[in-house]
Amino acid sequence: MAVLLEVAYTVALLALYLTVVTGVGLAMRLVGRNPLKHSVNDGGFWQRHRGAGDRGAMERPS
Amino acid sequence: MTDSRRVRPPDARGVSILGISAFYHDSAACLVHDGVIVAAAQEERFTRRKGDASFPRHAVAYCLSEAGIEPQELAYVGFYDKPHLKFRRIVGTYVGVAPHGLASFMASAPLWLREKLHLKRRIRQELGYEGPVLFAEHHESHAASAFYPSPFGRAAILTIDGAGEWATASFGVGHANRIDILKELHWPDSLGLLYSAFTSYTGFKINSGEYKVMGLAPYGEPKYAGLIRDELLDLRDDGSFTLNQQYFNYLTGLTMTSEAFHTLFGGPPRVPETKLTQREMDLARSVQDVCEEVMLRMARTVHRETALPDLCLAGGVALNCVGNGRILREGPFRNVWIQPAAGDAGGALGVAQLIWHRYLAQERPDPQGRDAMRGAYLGPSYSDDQIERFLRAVGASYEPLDRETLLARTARALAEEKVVGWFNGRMEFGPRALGARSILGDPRSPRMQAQMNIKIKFREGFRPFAPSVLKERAAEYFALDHESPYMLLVAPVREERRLPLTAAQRDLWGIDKLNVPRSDIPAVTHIDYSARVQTVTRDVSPDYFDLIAAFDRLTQCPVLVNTSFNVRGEPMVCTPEDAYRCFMRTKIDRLVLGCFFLEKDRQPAWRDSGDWQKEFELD
Repeated sequence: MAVLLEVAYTVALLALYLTVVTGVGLAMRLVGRNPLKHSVNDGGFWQRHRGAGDRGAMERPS
Repeated sequence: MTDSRRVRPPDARGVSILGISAFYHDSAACLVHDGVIVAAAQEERFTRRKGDASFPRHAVAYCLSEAGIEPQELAYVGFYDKPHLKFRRIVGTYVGVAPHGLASFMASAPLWLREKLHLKRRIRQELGYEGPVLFAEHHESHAASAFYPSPFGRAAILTIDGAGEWATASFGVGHANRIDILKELHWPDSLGLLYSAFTSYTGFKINSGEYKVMGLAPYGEPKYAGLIRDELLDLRDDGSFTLNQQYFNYLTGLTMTSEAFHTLFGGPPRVPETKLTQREMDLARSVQDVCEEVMLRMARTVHRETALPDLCLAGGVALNCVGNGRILREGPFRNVWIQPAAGDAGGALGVAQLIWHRYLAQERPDPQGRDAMRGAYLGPSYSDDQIERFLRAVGASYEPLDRETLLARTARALAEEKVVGWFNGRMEFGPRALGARSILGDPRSPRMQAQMNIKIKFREGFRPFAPSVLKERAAEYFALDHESPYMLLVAPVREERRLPLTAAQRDLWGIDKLNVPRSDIPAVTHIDYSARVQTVTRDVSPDYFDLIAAFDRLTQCPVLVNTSFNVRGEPMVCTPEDAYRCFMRTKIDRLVLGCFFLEKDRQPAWRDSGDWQKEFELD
């Protein structure tokens, strides 16, 4: 049973990658958006730090 | 939104905060009580697995016991990065490269979905703790670990490593109890990962072999530095850069470098443990030169933007002590202070201090030029009673000695070219042995480096050893006018100590240069006449200081060879048992365990079951 669940889990991950992740990725790149960029001007330049920096931010894992 | 109901104000018993770093590499825990660092340790020291990334339950247990509290008495637990933000970066990467990246996704996704996304629950379960769990950004944790324990009231901060959430480097300002990150560089452009790519390509393990690349660099010529600058990175004057991802594989695959990288540098990666050639040495020198150039440019930018005279450094790249030395010598800062646990382990300390100073808004007293790391001696110690019980149990032959006799006997053994295992007080936090868990030797001996590398540490012969020197005598031996208490600065050996080379010696290439004595302390003089210096002071390390002073009285040399007490692939020893085992397995001649002096030839026969060298995975 555990093996079957493991196989199902692996297949589900594969499907997730090949459909959702790939689909979204191709679509974003088609419309010229780069998901690898954290901000619009990203690309190896110094970026202004945003978010965090306050005590409220420390309560969030994101 | 801040939930003020969950903020626990300091009470009469004080506030205990536990910081944790885990699940990437080198997990650790740190306990801060009312802003004072009480204890900090890496999990690897307890589990005996180098760079152990698992939840640091042993390190946590140690920190709690050192503070004398139970988990329920903790006011806060902090984690050193923000897992959900990091997950967004990872998903963003896969979306950016799909349909490539499947193998990497299949390797990492299960761990994220099962564990890393549920960290709060996991931490509470592991600790049996119901209180608040807080999170800081990865580079904020590094910045906090660099600034809060530093000797500066106000300073610039620079953090550089492989990757945090999005940031791969950041800089900002620390002032009193505030840390403000101003700017950062983002994934996938990372100086740490560039260096790791060459670490992997030259046949060393990433996250531990970077030190070897740095040590190998002086044997080579910077033949590939131009190629790296032209093809691999677009480096700007301000130290920012873009990596040409065509040459890397870490976005999509399970390796660091791509086929294009291998073609560019003329062949496949070196197979680990095979013979090192001049090519690997030239590659190491080239990436080291580029790394130093980027570090210097970044430091100049930080100085320009902050206009502050002092700099704090952290992040894995801040363990590049050659680069640190150049920032100090050639950069614009008056002083540089580097967190001794500059890698991810130090994040545990950083987040705990962030909770105290930022979250609880507690003042930071003026450090008045003294750092708060207490020599990095933040780990476990063992009483003489505990040590003697152990020695009796194993039937060891030992002599209890008073302090003066112990120091004199040890100094005499060192002067007779004996190698001494030195186990004294609390274990160091961070990767460097600083005189608590050290193997010591005579730096004047031309044989010492080879003997220690091959017969004791069982590691690569090219690797240099570091000197510990009495602080007030350091300038006699090294061109260093700053303290270096954590062995994180490389400085040149003074010209007048250097030995002239013969024409034949000058013509030697690569590893053949190794056996040429370069100074009157050859065991700690690297082939480029540099040394990774530890300056020792009596107020921080009284026993170690007095030992070096005793050696100086015998030899007129206030310097010792100091290397970590372990063999290759083994974490530094933690307990008397670890130390005795390492002593008996290697050619260490004498062992000092607390007040006990042990001689190898008087010990009972030592038997291991099987091949003990296979016990530790090679690093």
